[in-house]
Amino acid sequence: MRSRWPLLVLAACLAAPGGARGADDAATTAADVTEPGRKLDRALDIVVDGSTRVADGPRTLAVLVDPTPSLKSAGFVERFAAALERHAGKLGSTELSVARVGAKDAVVLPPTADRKAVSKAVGDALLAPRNESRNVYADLRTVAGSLAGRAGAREVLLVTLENGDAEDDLEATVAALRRAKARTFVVATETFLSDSYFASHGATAAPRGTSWTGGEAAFHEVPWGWLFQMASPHEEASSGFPPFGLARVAAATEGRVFLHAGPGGAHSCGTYAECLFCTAGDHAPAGDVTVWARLKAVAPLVAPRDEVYAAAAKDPAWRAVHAAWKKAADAGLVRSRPSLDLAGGTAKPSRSTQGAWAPLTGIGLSFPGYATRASRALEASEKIRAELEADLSKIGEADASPRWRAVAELVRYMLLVTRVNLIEYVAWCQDAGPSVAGKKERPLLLPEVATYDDARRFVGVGYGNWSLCHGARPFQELHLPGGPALRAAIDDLDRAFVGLQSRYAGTPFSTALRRAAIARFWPTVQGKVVPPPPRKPTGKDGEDAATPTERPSRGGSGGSDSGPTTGG
Amino acid sequence: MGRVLRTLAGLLALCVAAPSARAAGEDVEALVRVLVGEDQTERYDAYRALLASRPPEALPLLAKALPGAPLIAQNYGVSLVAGYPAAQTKAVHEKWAAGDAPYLKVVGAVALLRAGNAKAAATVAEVIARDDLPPDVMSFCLGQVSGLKDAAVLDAVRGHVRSEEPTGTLGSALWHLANAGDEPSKKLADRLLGSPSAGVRAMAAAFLLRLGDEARAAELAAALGADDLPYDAFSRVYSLLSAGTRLPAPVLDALLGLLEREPQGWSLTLVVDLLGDAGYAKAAPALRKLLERDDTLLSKAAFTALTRIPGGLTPDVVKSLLTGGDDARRVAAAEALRRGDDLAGLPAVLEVLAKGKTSIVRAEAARVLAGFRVRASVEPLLDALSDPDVSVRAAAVTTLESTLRVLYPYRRIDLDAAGYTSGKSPEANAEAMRRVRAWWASAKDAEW
Repeated sequence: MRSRWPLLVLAACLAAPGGARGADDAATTAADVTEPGRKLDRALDIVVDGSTRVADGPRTLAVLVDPTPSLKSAGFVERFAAALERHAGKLGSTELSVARVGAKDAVVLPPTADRKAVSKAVGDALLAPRNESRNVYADLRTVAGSLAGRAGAREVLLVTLENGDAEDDLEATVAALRRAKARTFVVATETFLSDSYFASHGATAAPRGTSWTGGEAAFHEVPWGWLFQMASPHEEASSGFPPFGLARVAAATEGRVFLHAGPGGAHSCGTYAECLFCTAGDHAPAGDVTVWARLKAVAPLVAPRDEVYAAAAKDPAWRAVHAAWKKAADAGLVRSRPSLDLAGGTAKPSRSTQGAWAPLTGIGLSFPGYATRASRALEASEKIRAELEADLSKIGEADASPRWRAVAELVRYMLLVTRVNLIEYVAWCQDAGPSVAGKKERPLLLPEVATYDDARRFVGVGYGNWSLCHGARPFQELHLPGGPALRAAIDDLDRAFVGLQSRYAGTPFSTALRRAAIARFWPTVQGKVVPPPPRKPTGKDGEDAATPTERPSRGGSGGSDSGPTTGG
Repeated sequence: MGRVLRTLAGLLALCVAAPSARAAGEDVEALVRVLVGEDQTERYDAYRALLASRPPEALPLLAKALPGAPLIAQNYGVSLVAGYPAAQTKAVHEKWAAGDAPYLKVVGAVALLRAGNAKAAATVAEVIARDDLPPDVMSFCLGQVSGLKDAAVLDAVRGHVRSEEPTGTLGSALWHLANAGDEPSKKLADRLLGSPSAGVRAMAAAFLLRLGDEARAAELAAALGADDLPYDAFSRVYSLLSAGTRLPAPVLDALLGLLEREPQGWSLTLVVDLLGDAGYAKAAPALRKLLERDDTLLSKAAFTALTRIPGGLTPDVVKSLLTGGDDARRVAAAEALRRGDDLAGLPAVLEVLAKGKTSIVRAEAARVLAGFRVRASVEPLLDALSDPDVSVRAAAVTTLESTLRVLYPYRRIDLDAAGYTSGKSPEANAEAMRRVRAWWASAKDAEW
């Protein structure tokens, strides 16, 4: 049954956008502007049929299409044409224009009432789609400019399933859309939780003149690059919201964001982590499906960034996160530094967010040395966790933003994970590691055989990950180095996992808990030196391989292909 | 005949004990004679024996004997021949394609066509286009052309999309055309929607739905609701719809209606499967009622279907199935709980492993135990390594190895190295078991 929610909200927004500052209320979150449900047809029905928003009179709807293969394979061309026909009777005096993100001249079809021409222009825009990072905001400004002088209501529909996280000047875009009095709708896909992917992986260049931004939030709220984690758990948790910039432009112009989801895939316990407890990928975790009411409670603010920074500076939960993050970075427990600098009651973006791990693994088989350094890291980790817990215990439920409280709990959880991994590692360095590397004798009884054959030459220590998707409790069954201290640490981690799952099930924070990992360790062997392939002559001097601008594919989990549970 | 059977029994025993043993020449002849004979039970035993040993001398014998054999024997023979190297079977297929036995003619021609002989398509089309073949022969022939999109073959298959065709033939033809995504057949199927036969209407509508014509959902739903819909036709509908076709709500409602009506003589597992595959929540109450049925196949199908429906099986409902008389259902319930990280079913699985009345359920319990990965499963698995049945021992050793690999991630355990082989009797494995138990005694309380 179609929800009447959009009709009620949109009917209340009949005045042209930008007239009042109501949309810039600092309390507005992404949940206030994101439409429930994830069906492209429904989004098109709401946007194309403007009759509930525009009582009568002329209307211009500018359709800005970001031509990516995913949009083409979503059937956008056909669905859009079908929507135009479905609502032909209601289009009245609406004229549509078509623009293409990344085109030299963005507007490829000026406003027209010719629906066939509009459908054709959209089809042409998607003839040769490419998976490319693009600056959608520049083209949004161009489209806003093209609406100047148009009579009646003005609306923009931006359709981008891959971009929106590379910004040049977001607030200038908001200002341009407001100047044009253009209510902006967006069809996008959800991003990852407070996504720090481009900060933690440097390989993909942002489009010229832009910077990568952080997921659905105004800034990177969650520490990334935890010790002994092959991936940052929050970078694999679907957030339930679009990139911040897209939510911002919609919120600031009294528009809406519609999320599109492709066909759902099977559950995966981890992208880089091995799951010890799955049988043929048949894991069906409870709480893996988005629960809108819970997601809404932890939605990020979509106010101008300065206002969000100011709110963060004053929020006791975020301040506790900041303090813990800084200390963890100093101790080498995370490869990042806080994304904001706090000074008094203000916050501004940090100049440098890169950190480094304490050197606990790598080349060399100095097991005693590794164990000593890991013990020191463990002491530091426990101190940081105790201080964070003390800070959090002083914060009442109503004293902090639920979202930043959730971030703080996630940090606390990651400190518990790090504790387990460090205890295991210290013990591994003392016994199991030297044994399997042949540095310590241990008699073997059949059916046990040597872990590695005698011919191997070990030169260092490496690690891999076991997924925590099934929680910490199953790890109690394993025979792991660390003795009673490890068992106690796993118990504490299990308690935290269960408690936090109960509190955050149905939100991306629940998924992030599952994407963390227990480490396993092994001795590494001498690599084989292979010379790089000869470079082909290019005819150009000094030509280096271009930093790729293709968007990388990401692994992730959580969310639902049907989206939040309300709406149609 | 008694001598032949004794010989067969001996060969079979030899094959089970030592699969690499080859049948002697004169016994191969005897086996082939039995295979093409009239006795269905002996034919199956002969098939198993020949399958296990695949003696090279069987090939020419089969090539010669099968053309005059009953259809079912030909089918067994075709399966046997397919297991030989292509270089050896080419001559057989050429002989069959040139012969008169229609099914073998198609088998031979299709094999040649798939090997690159495009001219063989004409032979296939010629047989398929015939309208004088018994329905069972035509069904078998149609079963061979799966995946072929040759124009002449498709045209021949389309010739069977007629209201007067026997159910099996029409169903097979539609199935093949659906797999080929054959658009020209849609018009033919459209014409069948006006047939007085509910079965024909149902198959035609299912075919069209499978090809993406969702407007036919209403027609299919109406046909499924007809009192005179035969089960045979429904089974063809099932084949058409079970390839991941999205079933609209009216069709699902009609299937639910079928489930609730329980037509006389029907096996409802196919209906249950479709509802489960669709994740149709409305069917959950009706499916739950089937969980306690005496028909264990039906109750198991209902259970599986409910696991695919969100909220279909609450942990409480599943846990209630852990007790009760049916071991297979208890084990299935335990596995369903385990998928959601609830290990409450472990005691039931361990009990069935130790005391299950049949080797099938004990082996299944051993298999399911692999998903638990807990220390408590090791000793019961060690006991199961000495089960009198080889299938239980095989399942137990596989599970034990995977379990130990998880429980001891920093060690390497190799039961082969200890001398244990599931194919050997418990007595023959005694020394290996002594070593394994000695290791377990030393390792079970070790830190890592």
